[in-house]
Amino acid sequence: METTRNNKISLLGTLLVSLLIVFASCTYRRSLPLKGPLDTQTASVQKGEVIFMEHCQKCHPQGEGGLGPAINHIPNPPKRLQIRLGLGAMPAFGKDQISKEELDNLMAYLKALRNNKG
Amino acid sequence: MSGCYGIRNANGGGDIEEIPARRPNPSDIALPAGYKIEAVATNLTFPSAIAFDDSGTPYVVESGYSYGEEWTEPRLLRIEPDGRKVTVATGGKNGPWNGVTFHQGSFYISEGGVLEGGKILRVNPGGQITTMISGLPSYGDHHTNGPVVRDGYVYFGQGTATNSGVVGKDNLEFGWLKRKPDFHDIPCQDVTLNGRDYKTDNVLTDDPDDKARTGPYLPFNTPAKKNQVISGQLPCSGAIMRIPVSGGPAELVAWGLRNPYGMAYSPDGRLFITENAYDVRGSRPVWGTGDVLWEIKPGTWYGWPDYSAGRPVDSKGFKVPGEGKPKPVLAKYPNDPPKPTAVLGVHSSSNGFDFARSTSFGEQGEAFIAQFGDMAPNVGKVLSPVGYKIVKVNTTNGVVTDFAVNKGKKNGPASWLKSGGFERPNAVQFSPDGNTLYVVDFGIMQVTKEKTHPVEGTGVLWKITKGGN
Repeated sequence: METTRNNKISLLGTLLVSLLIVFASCTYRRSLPLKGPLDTQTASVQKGEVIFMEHCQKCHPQGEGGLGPAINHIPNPPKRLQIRLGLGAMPAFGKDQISKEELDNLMAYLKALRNNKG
Repeated sequence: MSGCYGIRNANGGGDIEEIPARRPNPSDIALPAGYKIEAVATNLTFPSAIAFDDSGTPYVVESGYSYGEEWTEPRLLRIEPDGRKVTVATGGKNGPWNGVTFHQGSFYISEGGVLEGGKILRVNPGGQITTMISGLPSYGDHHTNGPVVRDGYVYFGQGTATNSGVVGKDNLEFGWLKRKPDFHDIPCQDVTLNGRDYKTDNVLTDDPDDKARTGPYLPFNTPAKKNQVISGQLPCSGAIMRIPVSGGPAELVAWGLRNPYGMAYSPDGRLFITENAYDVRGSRPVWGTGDVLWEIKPGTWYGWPDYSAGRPVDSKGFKVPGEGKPKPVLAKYPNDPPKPTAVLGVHSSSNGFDFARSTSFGEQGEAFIAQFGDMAPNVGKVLSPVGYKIVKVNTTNGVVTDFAVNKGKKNGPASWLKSGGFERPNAVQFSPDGNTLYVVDFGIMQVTKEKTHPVEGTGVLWKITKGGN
């Protein structure tokens, strides 16, 4: 089990590093004064925003870099995996902290944020 | 994998090689559609807060002290319509003057009190200063903050002496441990220690083999004992306290707060504060702790030094990468800490704030918070600059939204971005009619491993209005 988990983490790490290189020249800023309000304001996005504020905002303010790296440029599947498994200094968030429904809503918000390019 | 974080460079916004000239340029700041910003006054030295008299005239305080052990003269300045500054009152060498409010013809100022202890001052329009209370425990890392006046009382915040309860080498680097070797945190009520203490070099002697053991709420090199009771007293560290406007001793409002900096009443009459959270420094570093917007409930303990934002410091997420996780130091707790109103960026230094009230400005009920910005690497590592902007918070659901930010590919202070935008916003305050949001921008502060260097004469007062105001 431990080997499988380590392999997953290693694969995730490689994927994220590759994505960081690919998007290194992009700006990750998506906040209101720069890009305007989010295009999509569904109930799911709004619920996801509250989950983001509770668990993610402090290290990735508005999805930008801060204590942790920027996440606005990363597609959702690796982010979902990273939230459940953790990566590096970032802790894993189990279902006791973020339920499946909450995670779905969080992903909806992160997608809307990522696509908010003004 | 935690090594990946460990090998990445710290990248704080204060880490600049050269000090540029300050050239404020509103067009370098982004705002939501319909709002505009302009510079009102420039060449201020370490401005920290703003208040308005009955006619709506703005007054700014210059703090007179900054981290980096820089002393200047604390001043209360009237800002004329053309931006000229007229000195109303000056203080002694006991800054920082961290806050100001105006009530029934007088200014009330929180004097940080690095050298003589914290004070609350009353200043009449002629500049005469009366000390309302003195001897507040401000000789350490954090100082006397606030104030606000409400229902016949002056409410103020008092920061803690240390990062997380234990005096250590970091306090020597701050500059105060040599001045006040016996100073330490003071609980507001009795606390019982679990006996945990911390071994360090004895930084008060020159012998490199001399070691010290220091427990929480105790002087440097004083070990803790299991079930040792530290008596509570007033005034105390890490608390909201109040004194009658007519004068009198300090009364406890709430405690267990690390550095309660900003303070404001909401339009519906609730008291809120901003708390600067733990740093990754000293004998008991805590990682990943976001600054907090709290609603203050009288009589409540908010968790310092064993909780952050309502969560125990030994829960996951607070462990310093590559090191052990922080351990609790108290044997029991006065109450379960409450849930925060909002959690803000780690090391953002979320400081002065105010609530929007007018239909003309919009966003009624939202809390607007000035974020001074990180002081990495001295507070810990960040991968990108944090803060240096104005955010708004919905106090119902805790959603934090950027409101005014520097333009650019990345976030950071103007000196780091090489632009003319914000440097370090330290306070915001709405004008009495609620139509204008004033932003007190402290100015340039260079922060490197070697030094903290605040730059005199680089502070700016900005104002934000909507539409044609």
